[in-house]
Amino acid sequence: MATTVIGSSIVIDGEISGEEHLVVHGTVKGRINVRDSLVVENGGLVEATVETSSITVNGTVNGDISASERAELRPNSTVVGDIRAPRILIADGASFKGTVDMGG
Amino acid sequence: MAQKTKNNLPSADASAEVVTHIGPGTRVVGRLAGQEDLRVHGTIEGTVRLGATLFVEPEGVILAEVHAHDVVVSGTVVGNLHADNAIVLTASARVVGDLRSPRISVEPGAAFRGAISMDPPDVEALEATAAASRGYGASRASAPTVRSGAISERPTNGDTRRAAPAPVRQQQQAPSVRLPPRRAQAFTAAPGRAPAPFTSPTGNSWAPREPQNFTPREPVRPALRPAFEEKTIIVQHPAIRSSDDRSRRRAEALPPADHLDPSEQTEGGVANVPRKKVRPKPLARGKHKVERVD
Repeated sequence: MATTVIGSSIVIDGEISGEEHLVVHGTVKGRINVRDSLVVENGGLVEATVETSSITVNGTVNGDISASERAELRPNSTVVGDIRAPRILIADGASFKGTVDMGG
Repeated sequence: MAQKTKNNLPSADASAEVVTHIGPGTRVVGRLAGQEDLRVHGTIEGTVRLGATLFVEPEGVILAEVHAHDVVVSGTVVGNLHADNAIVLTASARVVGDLRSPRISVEPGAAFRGAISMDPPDVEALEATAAASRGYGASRASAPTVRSGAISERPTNGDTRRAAPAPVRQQQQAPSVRLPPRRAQAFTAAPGRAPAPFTSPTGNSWAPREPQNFTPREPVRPALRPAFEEKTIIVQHPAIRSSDDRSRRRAEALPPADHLDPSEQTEGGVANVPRKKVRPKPLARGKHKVERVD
Protein backbone atom coordinates (compact mmCIF):
# COMPACT_ATOMS: atom_id res chain seq x y z
CA MET A 1 0.00 0.00 0.00
CA ALA A 2 1.07 3.52 -0.49
CA THR A 3 2.24 5.61 2.34
CA THR A 4 1.52 9.13 3.22
CA VAL A 5 4.55 10.88 4.57
CA ILE A 6 4.32 14.20 6.31
CA GLY A 7 7.75 15.78 6.16
CA SER A 8 9.51 17.42 9.03
CA SER A 9 8.84 20.98 8.03
CA ILE A 10 5.17 20.46 7.33
CA VAL A 11 2.53 21.72 9.72
CA ILE A 12 -1.00 20.51 9.20
CA ASP A 13 -3.81 22.11 11.11
CA GLY A 14 -6.89 20.16 10.44
CA GLU A 15 -8.09 16.69 9.80
CA ILE A 16 -6.32 13.84 8.11
CA SER A 17 -8.29 10.85 7.09
CA GLY A 18 -7.20 8.03 4.93
CA GLU A 19 -6.79 4.38 4.32
CA GLU A 20 -3.07 4.09 4.14
CA HIS A 21 -0.08 4.12 6.33
CA LEU A 22 0.72 7.48 7.67
CA VAL A 23 4.16 8.54 8.76
CA VAL A 24 4.46 11.83 10.54
CA HIS A 25 7.78 13.61 10.76
CA GLY A 26 6.24 17.02 11.12
CA THR A 27 3.40 18.52 13.08
CA VAL A 28 -0.24 17.63 12.91
CA LYS A 29 -2.93 19.33 14.93
CA GLY A 30 -6.52 18.33 14.89
CA ARG A 31 -7.66 14.84 14.12
CA ILE A 32 -6.16 11.83 12.51
CA ASN A 33 -8.28 8.98 11.30
CA VAL A 34 -6.43 6.38 9.30
CA ARG A 35 -7.53 2.86 8.69
CA ASP A 36 -4.00 1.56 8.56
CA SER A 37 -1.06 2.17 10.77
CA LEU A 38 0.25 5.44 12.03
CA VAL A 39 3.87 6.03 12.84
CA VAL A 40 4.93 9.17 14.64
CA GLU A 41 8.62 9.50 13.96
CA ASN A 42 11.24 11.09 16.05
CA GLY A 43 10.68 14.81 15.88
CA GLY A 44 7.09 14.40 14.95
CA LEU A 45 4.43 16.10 16.96
CA VAL A 46 0.82 15.07 16.92
CA GLU A 47 -1.65 17.15 18.88
CA ALA A 48 -4.69 15.34 17.79
CA THR A 49 -7.14 12.70 18.61
CA VAL A 50 -5.99 9.65 16.79
CA GLU A 51 -8.02 6.77 15.49
CA THR A 52 -6.06 4.13 13.77
CA SER A 53 -5.52 0.43 13.58
CA SER A 54 -2.06 0.47 15.02
CA ILE A 55 0.14 3.24 16.23
CA THR A 56 3.84 3.42 16.84
CA VAL A 57 5.15 6.46 18.60
CA ASN A 58 8.73 7.62 18.51
CA GLY A 59 7.92 11.26 18.90
CA THR A 60 5.32 13.20 20.80
CA VAL A 61 1.61 12.72 20.93
CA ASN A 62 -0.69 14.98 22.89
CA GLY A 63 -4.10 13.59 22.50
CA ASP A 64 -6.21 10.54 22.87
CA ILE A 65 -5.23 7.49 20.95
CA SER A 66 -7.66 4.85 19.90
CA ALA A 67 -6.05 1.90 18.18
CA SER A 68 -8.00 -1.10 17.09
CA GLU A 69 -5.02 -3.45 17.04
CA ARG A 70 -2.07 -2.30 19.01
CA ALA A 71 -0.29 0.70 20.38
CA GLU A 72 3.45 0.86 20.80
CA LEU A 73 5.36 3.53 22.62
CA ARG A 74 9.04 3.36 21.78
CA PRO A 75 11.83 4.74 23.88
CA ASN A 76 12.12 8.54 23.80
CA SER A 77 8.49 8.91 23.03
CA THR A 78 6.16 11.14 24.93
CA VAL A 79 2.47 10.57 25.10
CA VAL A 80 0.03 12.67 27.04
CA GLY A 81 -3.47 11.37 26.70
CA ASP A 82 -5.60 8.31 26.97
CA ILE A 83 -4.83 5.16 25.07
CA ARG A 84 -7.44 2.68 24.07
CA ALA A 85 -6.02 -0.40 22.47
CA PRO A 86 -6.31 -4.16 22.95
CA ARG A 87 -2.53 -4.51 22.99
CA ILE A 88 -0.07 -2.04 24.38
CA LEU A 89 3.64 -1.93 24.49
CA ILE A 90 5.32 0.81 26.49
CA ALA A 91 9.05 0.56 26.17
CA ASP A 92 11.54 1.53 28.75
CA GLY A 93 12.28 5.21 28.43
CA ALA A 94 8.91 6.18 27.09
CA SER A 95 7.13 8.96 28.87
CA PHE A 96 3.47 8.51 29.23
CA LYS A 97 0.74 10.24 31.12
CA GLY A 98 -2.83 9.21 30.82
CA THR A 99 -5.13 6.31 31.18
CA VAL A 100 -4.94 3.00 29.47
CA ASP A 101 -7.99 1.12 28.44
CA MET A 102 -7.41 -2.26 26.95
CA GLY A 103 -11.01 -2.93 26.37
CA GLY A 104 -11.12 -5.88 28.60
CA MET B 1 14.86 20.03 -3.98
CA ALA B 2 13.29 19.10 -7.26
CA GLN B 3 15.53 19.08 -10.29
CA LYS B 4 14.86 21.93 -12.57
CA THR B 5 15.17 22.18 -16.32
CA LYS B 6 17.29 24.80 -17.94
CA ASN B 7 14.49 27.33 -17.93
CA ASN B 8 14.43 27.00 -14.20
CA LEU B 9 10.93 25.64 -14.43
CA PRO B 10 10.36 22.59 -12.31
CA SER B 11 9.75 19.58 -14.45
CA ALA B 12 6.90 17.33 -13.59
CA ASP B 13 8.75 14.07 -13.81
CA ALA B 14 11.86 14.99 -11.94
CA SER B 15 13.13 12.31 -9.67
CA ALA B 16 13.48 14.27 -6.55
CA GLU B 17 14.11 13.31 -3.01
CA VAL B 18 10.66 14.15 -1.93
CA VAL B 19 10.03 13.57 1.67
CA THR B 20 6.42 14.57 1.87
CA HIS B 21 3.69 13.07 -0.11
CA ILE B 22 0.04 12.58 0.40
CA GLY B 23 -1.02 9.15 -0.75
CA PRO B 24 -4.03 8.39 -2.91
CA GLY B 25 -6.39 7.39 -0.17
CA THR B 26 -5.58 10.25 2.15
CA ARG B 27 -7.61 13.34 2.66
CA VAL B 28 -6.32 16.40 4.47
CA VAL B 29 -8.82 19.03 5.47
CA GLY B 30 -7.45 22.18 6.96
CA ARG B 31 -4.34 24.28 6.71
CA LEU B 32 -1.14 22.86 5.42
CA ALA B 33 2.08 24.79 5.71
CA GLY B 34 5.62 23.76 5.06
CA GLN B 35 8.97 24.41 3.54
CA GLU B 36 9.55 21.32 1.48
CA ASP B 37 8.26 19.82 -1.71
CA LEU B 38 4.89 18.18 -1.53
CA ARG B 39 3.46 15.59 -3.87
CA VAL B 40 -0.25 15.18 -3.68
CA HIS B 41 -1.87 12.00 -4.83
CA GLY B 42 -4.78 12.40 -2.49
CA THR B 43 -7.06 15.24 -1.57
CA ILE B 44 -6.32 18.48 0.16
CA GLU B 45 -9.00 20.91 1.20
CA GLY B 46 -8.41 24.23 2.80
CA THR B 47 -5.28 26.28 2.32
CA VAL B 48 -1.79 25.33 1.38
CA ARG B 49 1.22 27.48 2.05
CA LEU B 50 4.43 26.01 0.84
CA GLY B 51 7.85 27.48 0.53
CA ALA B 52 8.77 24.95 -2.10
CA THR B 53 7.20 23.09 -4.97
CA LEU B 54 3.75 21.65 -4.90
CA PHE B 55 3.21 18.76 -7.26
CA VAL B 56 -0.35 17.79 -7.91
CA GLU B 57 -0.26 14.29 -9.32
CA PRO B 58 -2.83 13.06 -11.82
CA GLU B 59 -4.96 11.50 -9.15
CA GLY B 60 -4.51 14.39 -6.79
CA VAL B 61 -7.30 16.78 -5.99
CA ILE B 62 -6.77 20.14 -4.39
CA LEU B 63 -9.71 22.22 -3.25
CA ALA B 64 -7.68 24.89 -1.69
CA GLU B 65 -6.08 28.25 -1.95
CA VAL B 66 -2.45 27.54 -2.72
CA HIS B 67 0.52 29.77 -2.07
CA ALA B 68 3.71 28.08 -3.04
CA HIS B 69 7.04 28.79 -4.57
CA ASP B 70 6.29 26.63 -7.57
CA VAL B 71 3.24 24.69 -8.54
CA VAL B 72 3.18 21.82 -11.01
CA VAL B 73 -0.31 20.65 -11.71
CA SER B 74 -1.07 17.34 -13.31
CA GLY B 75 -4.31 16.73 -11.51
CA THR B 76 -7.35 18.63 -10.41
CA VAL B 77 -7.27 21.95 -8.68
CA VAL B 78 -10.25 24.01 -7.68
CA GLY B 79 -8.92 27.13 -6.09
CA ASN B 80 -6.54 29.96 -6.70
CA LEU B 81 -2.89 29.28 -7.23
CA HIS B 82 -0.27 31.79 -6.26
CA ALA B 83 3.31 31.03 -7.00
CA ASP B 84 6.43 33.02 -6.37
CA ASN B 85 8.24 31.52 -9.26
CA ALA B 86 6.29 29.45 -11.74
CA ILE B 87 3.07 27.61 -12.35
CA VAL B 88 3.07 24.72 -14.76
CA LEU B 89 -0.11 23.09 -15.97
CA THR B 90 0.67 19.82 -17.66
CA ALA B 91 -1.47 17.97 -20.14
CA SER B 92 -3.57 16.23 -17.55
CA ALA B 93 -4.23 19.32 -15.49
CA ARG B 94 -7.72 20.41 -14.71
CA VAL B 95 -7.77 23.77 -13.00
CA VAL B 96 -10.61 26.04 -12.04
CA GLY B 97 -9.33 29.14 -10.36
CA ASP B 98 -7.00 32.06 -10.81
CA LEU B 99 -3.32 31.76 -11.43
CA ARG B 100 -0.93 34.37 -10.24
CA SER B 101 2.74 33.90 -10.85
CA PRO B 102 5.53 35.63 -12.69
CA ARG B 103 5.90 32.64 -14.97
CA ILE B 104 3.15 30.45 -16.22
CA SER B 105 3.19 27.52 -18.53
CA VAL B 106 0.06 25.84 -19.79
CA GLU B 107 0.76 22.76 -21.83
CA PRO B 108 -1.51 21.50 -24.59
CA GLY B 109 -4.19 19.30 -23.18
CA ALA B 110 -4.61 21.17 -19.95
CA ALA B 111 -8.07 22.34 -19.06
CA PHE B 112 -8.18 25.66 -17.32
CA ARG B 113 -10.75 28.18 -16.36
CA GLY B 114 -9.93 31.33 -14.51
CA ALA B 115 -7.88 34.44 -14.69
CA ILE B 116 -4.17 34.67 -15.19
CA SER B 117 -2.14 37.45 -13.77
CA MET B 118 1.58 37.45 -14.14
CA ASP B 119 2.51 40.32 -11.88
CA PRO B 120 2.77 39.36 -8.29
CA PRO B 121 1.14 42.17 -6.39
CA ASP B 122 3.49 44.18 -4.32
CA VAL B 123 1.15 44.33 -1.42
CA GLU B 124 3.34 46.35 0.85
CA ALA B 125 3.91 49.06 -1.69
CA LEU B 126 0.23 49.26 -2.51
CA GLU B 127 -0.72 49.50 1.11
CA ALA B 128 1.87 52.16 1.74
CA THR B 129 0.59 54.32 -1.07
CA ALA B 130 -2.98 53.78 0.06
CA ALA B 131 -2.12 54.85 3.57
CA ALA B 132 -0.17 57.85 2.38
CA SER B 133 -2.92 59.09 0.17
CA ARG B 134 -5.43 58.57 2.93
CA GLY B 135 -3.37 60.71 5.27
CA TYR B 136 -3.26 63.68 2.93
CA GLY B 137 -6.92 63.51 2.14
CA ALA B 138 -6.72 63.70 -1.61
CA SER B 139 -3.33 63.23 -3.12
CA ARG B 140 -4.76 62.62 -6.53
CA ALA B 141 -1.39 62.29 -8.10
CA SER B 142 -0.75 58.94 -6.54
CA ALA B 143 -4.27 57.60 -6.23
CA PRO B 144 -5.11 57.15 -9.90
CA THR B 145 -1.97 55.19 -10.63
CA VAL B 146 -2.58 52.93 -7.71
CA ARG B 147 -6.17 52.39 -8.71
CA SER B 148 -5.58 51.65 -12.33
CA GLY B 149 -2.76 49.28 -11.58
CA ALA B 150 -4.69 47.50 -8.90
CA ILE B 151 -7.91 46.99 -10.78
CA SER B 152 -6.38 45.90 -14.03
CA GLU B 153 -4.26 43.20 -12.59
CA ARG B 154 -6.38 41.80 -9.88
CA PRO B 155 -8.87 39.06 -10.35
CA THR B 156 -11.43 38.90 -7.63
CA ASN B 157 -10.20 36.67 -4.93
CA GLY B 158 -9.90 36.79 -1.25
CA ASP B 159 -6.38 38.10 -1.08
CA THR B 160 -6.97 41.33 -2.85
CA ARG B 161 -10.14 42.30 -1.13
CA ARG B 162 -8.43 44.44 1.37
CA ALA B 163 -6.84 46.72 -1.17
CA ALA B 164 -9.90 47.04 -3.37
CA PRO B 165 -12.06 49.14 -1.06
CA ALA B 166 -9.37 51.72 -0.51
CA PRO B 167 -9.17 52.97 -4.09
CA VAL B 168 -12.96 53.08 -4.38
CA ARG B 169 -13.20 55.28 -1.33
CA GLN B 170 -10.64 57.66 -2.65
CA GLN B 171 -12.72 58.10 -5.74
CA GLN B 172 -15.78 59.10 -3.79
CA GLN B 173 -13.81 61.73 -2.06
CA ALA B 174 -13.57 64.25 -4.86
CA PRO B 175 -15.32 67.11 -3.13
CA SER B 176 -17.89 69.04 -5.06
CA VAL B 177 -17.22 71.95 -2.76
CA ARG B 178 -13.67 73.12 -2.75
CA LEU B 179 -12.57 74.05 0.68
CA PRO B 180 -10.18 76.93 0.99
CA PRO B 181 -6.64 76.27 2.03
CA ARG B 182 -5.39 76.62 5.55
CA ARG B 183 -5.10 80.37 5.34
CA ALA B 184 -8.76 80.77 6.24
CA GLN B 185 -8.47 78.56 9.25
CA ALA B 186 -5.68 80.62 10.65
CA PHE B 187 -7.97 83.58 11.00
CA THR B 188 -10.98 81.95 12.51
CA ALA B 189 -8.99 80.16 15.14
CA ALA B 190 -7.29 81.70 18.10
CA PRO B 191 -4.35 83.84 17.08
CA GLY B 192 -1.68 81.82 18.77
CA ARG B 193 -2.66 78.48 17.34
CA ALA B 194 -0.90 77.09 14.31
CA PRO B 195 -3.14 76.09 11.41
CA ALA B 196 -4.37 72.57 11.83
CA PRO B 197 -3.11 69.99 9.35
CA PHE B 198 -5.54 69.05 6.68
CA THR B 199 -6.89 65.85 8.21
CA SER B 200 -10.30 65.00 9.41
CA PRO B 201 -10.80 64.97 13.17
CA THR B 202 -11.78 61.31 13.22
CA GLY B 203 -8.78 60.28 11.20
CA ASN B 204 -10.84 58.63 8.47
CA SER B 205 -10.44 60.12 5.09
CA TRP B 206 -13.64 58.62 3.78
CA ALA B 207 -15.93 59.85 6.53
CA PRO B 208 -17.76 62.98 5.49
CA ARG B 209 -15.47 65.69 6.53
CA GLU B 210 -16.90 68.93 7.87
CA PRO B 211 -15.29 72.05 6.66
CA GLN B 212 -13.19 73.10 9.52
CA ASN B 213 -14.19 76.72 9.71
CA PHE B 214 -17.83 76.28 10.52
CA THR B 215 -17.11 77.67 13.92
CA PRO B 216 -19.45 80.38 15.17
CA ARG B 217 -18.09 83.57 13.90
CA GLU B 218 -16.58 85.78 16.49
CA PRO B 219 -15.95 89.37 15.67
CA VAL B 220 -12.54 89.44 14.17
CA ARG B 221 -10.28 92.22 15.26
CA PRO B 222 -9.19 94.47 12.47
CA ALA B 223 -5.56 93.63 12.97
CA LEU B 224 -6.20 90.00 12.12
CA ARG B 225 -8.67 90.62 9.39
CA PRO B 226 -7.39 89.54 6.04
CA ALA B 227 -7.33 91.96 3.22
CA PHE B 228 -9.81 89.93 1.27
CA GLU B 229 -12.50 88.28 3.26
CA GLU B 230 -12.69 84.70 2.10
CA LYS B 231 -15.95 82.89 2.29
CA THR B 232 -16.29 79.33 3.47
CA ILE B 233 -18.40 78.17 0.58
CA ILE B 234 -18.39 80.08 -2.60
CA VAL B 235 -21.87 79.67 -3.92
CA GLN B 236 -21.78 82.60 -6.25
CA HIS B 237 -19.13 84.43 -7.99
CA PRO B 238 -17.77 87.17 -5.77
CA ALA B 239 -18.18 89.67 -8.54
CA ILE B 240 -21.93 89.30 -8.28
CA ARG B 241 -23.08 91.74 -5.67
CA SER B 242 -26.59 91.99 -4.42
CA SER B 243 -28.09 94.10 -1.77
CA ASP B 244 -28.94 91.02 0.23
CA ASP B 245 -25.32 90.15 0.31
CA ARG B 246 -24.36 93.53 1.55
CA SER B 247 -27.08 93.75 4.12
CA ARG B 248 -26.22 90.36 5.45
CA ARG B 249 -22.64 91.29 5.81
CA ARG B 250 -23.56 94.42 7.65
CA ALA B 251 -25.81 92.54 9.99
CA GLU B 252 -22.89 90.40 11.00
CA ALA B 253 -21.17 93.53 12.20
CA LEU B 254 -18.18 93.04 10.06
CA PRO B 255 -16.87 96.06 8.29
CA PRO B 256 -16.78 95.46 4.58
CA ALA B 257 -13.52 95.16 2.77
CA ASP B 258 -11.86 98.22 1.57
CA HIS B 259 -11.91 97.54 -2.07
CA LEU B 260 -15.59 96.83 -2.20
CA ASP B 261 -18.05 99.58 -2.85
CA PRO B 262 -16.31 102.59 -1.32
CA SER B 263 -19.30 104.90 -1.55
CA GLU B 264 -21.05 103.04 1.18
CA GLN B 265 -18.33 103.04 3.67
CA THR B 266 -19.45 106.30 5.15
CA GLU B 267 -22.76 104.75 6.12
CA GLY B 268 -21.13 101.93 7.97
CA GLY B 269 -23.12 100.34 10.74
CA VAL B 270 -26.53 100.96 9.32
CA ALA B 271 -28.63 97.87 9.01
CA ASN B 272 -30.54 98.77 5.91
CA VAL B 273 -28.84 100.78 3.32
CA PRO B 274 -31.22 102.75 1.21
CA ARG B 275 -30.66 102.11 -2.38
CA LYS B 276 -29.53 105.00 -4.38
CA LYS B 277 -32.65 106.37 -5.84
CA VAL B 278 -32.45 107.61 -9.31
CA ARG B 279 -34.28 110.89 -9.37
CA PRO B 280 -35.20 112.48 -12.55
CA LYS B 281 -32.61 114.96 -13.54
CA PRO B 282 -33.75 118.51 -12.83
CA LEU B 283 -34.24 120.49 -15.92
CA ALA B 284 -33.48 123.77 -14.35
CA ARG B 285 -32.21 125.05 -11.10
CA GLY B 286 -34.31 127.56 -9.39
CA LYS B 287 -37.32 128.01 -7.40
CA HIS B 288 -39.94 127.71 -10.04
CA LYS B 289 -41.18 124.27 -10.73
CA VAL B 290 -40.87 122.81 -14.08
CA GLU B 291 -42.97 119.84 -14.83
CA ARG B 292 -42.19 117.22 -17.18
CA VAL B 293 -44.77 116.72 -19.80
CA ASP B 294 -43.94 113.23 -20.75
